[in-house]
Amino acid sequence: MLPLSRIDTGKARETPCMFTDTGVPRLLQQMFSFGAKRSNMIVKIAGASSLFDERGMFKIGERNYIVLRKVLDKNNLLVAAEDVKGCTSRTLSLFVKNGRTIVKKNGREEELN
Amino acid sequence: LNNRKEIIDKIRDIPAIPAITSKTLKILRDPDSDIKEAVKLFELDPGITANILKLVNSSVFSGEIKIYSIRDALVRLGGRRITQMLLSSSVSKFMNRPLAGYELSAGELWHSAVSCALSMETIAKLLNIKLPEHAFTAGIMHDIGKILLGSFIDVKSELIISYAENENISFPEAEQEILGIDHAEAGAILIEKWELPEEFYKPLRLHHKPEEAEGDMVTELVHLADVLTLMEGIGTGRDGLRYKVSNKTAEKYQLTPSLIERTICETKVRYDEVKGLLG
Repeated sequence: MLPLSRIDTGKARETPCMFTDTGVPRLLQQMFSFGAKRSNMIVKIAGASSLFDERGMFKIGERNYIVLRKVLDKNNLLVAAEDVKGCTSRTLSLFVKNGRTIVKKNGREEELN
Repeated sequence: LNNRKEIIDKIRDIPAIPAITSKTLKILRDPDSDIKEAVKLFELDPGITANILKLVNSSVFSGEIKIYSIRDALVRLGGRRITQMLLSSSVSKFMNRPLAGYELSAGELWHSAVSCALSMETIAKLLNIKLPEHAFTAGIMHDIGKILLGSFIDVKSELIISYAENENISFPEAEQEILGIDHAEAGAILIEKWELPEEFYKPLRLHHKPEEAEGDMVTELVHLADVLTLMEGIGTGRDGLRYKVSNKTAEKYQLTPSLIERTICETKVRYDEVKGLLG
């Protein structure tokens, strides 16, 4: 996933979910169209890891995070919990039945609260 | 006590690459060889012939001209290109398995290998660089040493990760400290056992230390492409993104954030086109 769709607007129209600035609004729109209410939404974020990169040129994860926060701000959505940055890879699971969110990293599973 | 000796001993248990690959490699590398001999070898193995024809006619390798026979493929694309394809398809079976230790499920290492190779081609295209013939296969094979280290990492993963965190070092540096060897060196030893051409040595051995490669372009591009692939989250397991970027190499190729993002974007598009094809 890349932060901004302006690098390839054609691609963004075809596959908006490739970019944070087009993918997340698309996700929200879909949720709203299925009847989701802002007041019921609980937003949790996991990810935004980066490599060891002194000059920061390769920190796409962190740039994704900045763009994501902007999109959420625009939509008046607050973040309830997050587990971001560092250099570990994370797997996020969402239990659709009850909203539990689990982050798996470093071989361990933790509840994201 | 480290595992260096055990790991190097384990290389003996890794099967040889298929005989047809090594035989073809020998024939095609010999300047006095006759292309007919190579064609004969292929004719003995219809499976490989079919694979090669599928590959040469795909958008990854060819232009518009349809190629119907191995002889045609050899004449049009050249023996070296065909050899690279053979090698890629030979190593895919080793790289498609699940990988303990690094915690990669079946196919993830292969996915990252293909993405890295395609990413090298994208960088070269955007920078207008002509890649040497062995570049694609070097990209495919760069992490093959991980198949040797996996089971050892599985036992010591807590130790390796906590050591890396405490010392603030990269995952390969921690492999070196705790196991006595890193996946890059293990991969280089493996291809020596397979008697592959020496131009693969540096890209495998030094892909995390491209500054030591004395300007070897393929090593430098494997490094950059590997970094971009990791950034996409492809092939990242227990080791995560705990890898160092060589800023010196990035500067040498005048990479910019926008070029990096365009490379990732184009590579993803190409990967989706070819993923069925490369197994």
